[in-house]
Amino acid sequence: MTMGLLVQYVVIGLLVLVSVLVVFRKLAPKLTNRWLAVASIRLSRPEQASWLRVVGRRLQPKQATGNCSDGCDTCGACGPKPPATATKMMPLEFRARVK
Amino acid sequence: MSASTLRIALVGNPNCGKTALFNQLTGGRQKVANYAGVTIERKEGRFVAPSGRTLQILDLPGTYSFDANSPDEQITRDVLEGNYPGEAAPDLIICVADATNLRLHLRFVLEVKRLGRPVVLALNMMDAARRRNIEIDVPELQRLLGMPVVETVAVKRGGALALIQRVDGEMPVASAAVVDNPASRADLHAQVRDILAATVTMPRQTAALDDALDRWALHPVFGLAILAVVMFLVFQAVYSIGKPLTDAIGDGFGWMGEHVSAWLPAGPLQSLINDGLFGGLGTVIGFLPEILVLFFFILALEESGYLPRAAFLLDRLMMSVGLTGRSFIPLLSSFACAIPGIMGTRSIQDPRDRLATILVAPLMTCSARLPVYALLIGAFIPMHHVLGIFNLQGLVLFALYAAGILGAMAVGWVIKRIHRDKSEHALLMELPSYRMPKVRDIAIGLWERGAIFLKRLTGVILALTVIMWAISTFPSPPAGATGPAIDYSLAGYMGRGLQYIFAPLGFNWQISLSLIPAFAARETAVAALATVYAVGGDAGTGGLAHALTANFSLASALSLLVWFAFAPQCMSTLAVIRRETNSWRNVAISFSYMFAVAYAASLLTYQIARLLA
Repeated sequence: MTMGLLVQYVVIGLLVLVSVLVVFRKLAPKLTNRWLAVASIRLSRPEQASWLRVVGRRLQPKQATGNCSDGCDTCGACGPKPPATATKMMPLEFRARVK
Repeated sequence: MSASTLRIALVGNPNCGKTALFNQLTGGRQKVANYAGVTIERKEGRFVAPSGRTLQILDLPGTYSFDANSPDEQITRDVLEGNYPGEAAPDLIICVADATNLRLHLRFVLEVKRLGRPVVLALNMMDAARRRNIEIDVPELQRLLGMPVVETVAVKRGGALALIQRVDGEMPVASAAVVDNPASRADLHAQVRDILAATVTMPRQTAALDDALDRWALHPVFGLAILAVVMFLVFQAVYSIGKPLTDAIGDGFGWMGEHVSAWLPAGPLQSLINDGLFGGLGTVIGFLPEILVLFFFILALEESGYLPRAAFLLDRLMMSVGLTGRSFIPLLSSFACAIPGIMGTRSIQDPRDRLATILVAPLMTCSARLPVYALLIGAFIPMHHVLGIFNLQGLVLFALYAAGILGAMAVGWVIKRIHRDKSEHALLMELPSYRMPKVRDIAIGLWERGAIFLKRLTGVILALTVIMWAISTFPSPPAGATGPAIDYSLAGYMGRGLQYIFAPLGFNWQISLSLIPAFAARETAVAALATVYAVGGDAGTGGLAHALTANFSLASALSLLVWFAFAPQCMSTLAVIRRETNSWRNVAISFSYMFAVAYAASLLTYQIARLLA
C-alpha cells in the first residue's frame, strides 16, 4: 500500500467515525451527551496534557435551550415538558345578553 | 442574574401580536403568523434598554383567561402566578391587546391586573385601528384601568419605541391583588363594557373588507371550492416554478463533481467525494427550490389570515372523522415537519382530540418527503399537460398530498370508532382580520426554512451519506469475484437481507437499503440511492433519475411513492410523540399502524400497477 493510499484510508476512517458520532447523537441525544460529558470530565483533568484539556472542553455537551416549534431541526433541545395531567373540562355556559 | 435585570412577561389573548413584539424587542426571529395558537411554549430573550439596563423578556402562549383549558394556556397561568417550576414570577407584565378588538381582549387585561403585579398595557395594531377609524381615548383608558397604556405596531420597524421607553422608565404601581375565584370574575364583562363605552368609538364591529371576503371564503360550498383550488394551485406551482431551478442545481453539482474528481488522484477518497458527496448530497440539495416554493405559499397563507377560515370550513368534515377544526392548524404545520405539528396540538383542549391529532399528524406530507416525491415523479411521470393547463407531475404530487390527508381522515375515523368517548366537541375559534403578507416576513421565513434544510444537509444527511458510501464500498470484493463490487459490500448484504421483507412491494435491494437511513431523515433516501447507484456504477451520466428508470419499473416507483406517503415517521417524530403523550404505548401504536398501512397500500399499488401494465 502506498503512502498516498494510506493517508486516504486514514482520512476516510476519521470521516466515518465522525459521521457515526453525528448520527448516534441524532438518534440518541441523551445517551451521547452523557458519554460526551464523561469523556469531557476525564480529558479536562489538570494532569492531562493541555491539548487534551482543550479537546475535553470541546466535548462538553451544550445545554438544551431551543424549542421545537419553529422547525424540525431544533428538536435535539426541546423546551419544558407539557403538564402530564389532563386538564379538567370547563363546560361552556351561554348567557343572554344584558341590555 | 444581575440585580439590574428586569424580568418582563408578554401576555395577552391569542393572535394579538405578542411574538411580533417579542421579536421587535429582542431582535429574535420566533415564528409569527396570523392565527391563534402559534406560540405553545414560553420563549425567552434579552435586550439592553437605552438606560443600559438588561431586560429579560418572556413570550408566553396566548390565553383568553386564567381558566386554563389547554396545556399551553396552563404554562401562561403558572408563569404569571409564580407557580412555574424553576421560575420566579415576572417583575413586570406587558399585557398586549389588539386595539381593533378590545371588546374581547380587555377582559384578560382586567384579570391580569387582579394579580397585583405591575402591568403595562400595549395597545397593539394601532395602525389597523386607525385605518378602521376606531378612536381610543388612551389617557381615559389609562385612568380607568389604573395602568400605563402605550400604543404599539409590533409588525413595523420602530413600532415598539414608546413601549421600550415606558418599561425602561419608572416601574408602574401595582394594583391591589384580588383573590381569584369564579364569583369575583363575574363582573369583569360588565367592567369591560363600561370601559369601552367611556373610551372607544368604533364605526363597525368588524372590518368591511373582512366581511366582504368572508361572504365567499366561508361559504359552505364556494368556500370549500376556493380552498381546493388554492391548495391545488400551490402544488402545481411547486413543479412549474421549482423544477427548472432543481434541474439547474443538479446540473451544476454534476459539473462540479466532474471537475473536482478530475483534480483528485484516483482512489477511495475520489470515490467518496464524487459518488458520496456530489452524487448523494448534490442530488438532495437540488430539491431546495421546490421546498422553498411550497413554503412561500404556506407562509403567505399563514400571514394572510386565511388558514383559520380553512379550519372553520373543514370543522364539520373533520368532526365527522373524529378530529376537530382545531386540529387543522397543527396538521397544516405538519406539512413542514410533523414535530412542530405534534407540539402544536397543545392548543387542543380535549385529550381525545389531541391524541387523535398527534397520531394522524405524521401522515401529513412533511417537507422532507418532497425530495423523494420530486425525484420519483420527475423520473417516472411524463411532463404532459392535462386539459392544456395542468401538468401531470403537479397532479401526481397533489394526489400524494391528498392521499396523506385522506389517510389521516380514515385513521381519525377508526380512532373515533374504537374510542369510548364518542362525543363531539364544538370549535370556538377567533377569525383574525385579513392582512396583506409582508415581503420581509416571508423572506425571513424562507431564509429560515432554507437554513434548516441546509443544516440538516450538512449535518445528519452528510453523515449518513458518508456511512452509506462506506458500507457500499467496504469490504472489497474477494479475489476472483465476478459480480459487481457493491454486491460483496456490507450494503449489498444488508440490502439483500431486507429485500425478503420488501420484495412483495416491488422494491429491489437498493431501495430496501435506502429505507434505513430514511428513518433518521427522509431526504437521506435520495442521497442513499444516489450513492449506492453511483458506487455500483449504475448512475451513468444521466444522474439518479436515469439510474432509477433503468433499474426500476413504474409499478415499483408508484409503490415506493405510496410507501413514503404512509410510512412510519422518522425517529425524531416518534421521540416527540413519546414526549408529548408521556407514553411508549402511543409510540408503538403510531409506528405499528403506519407500518401496516404503508405496507398494505404499497403492496396493493404494486400488484395492481403490475397487473395493469
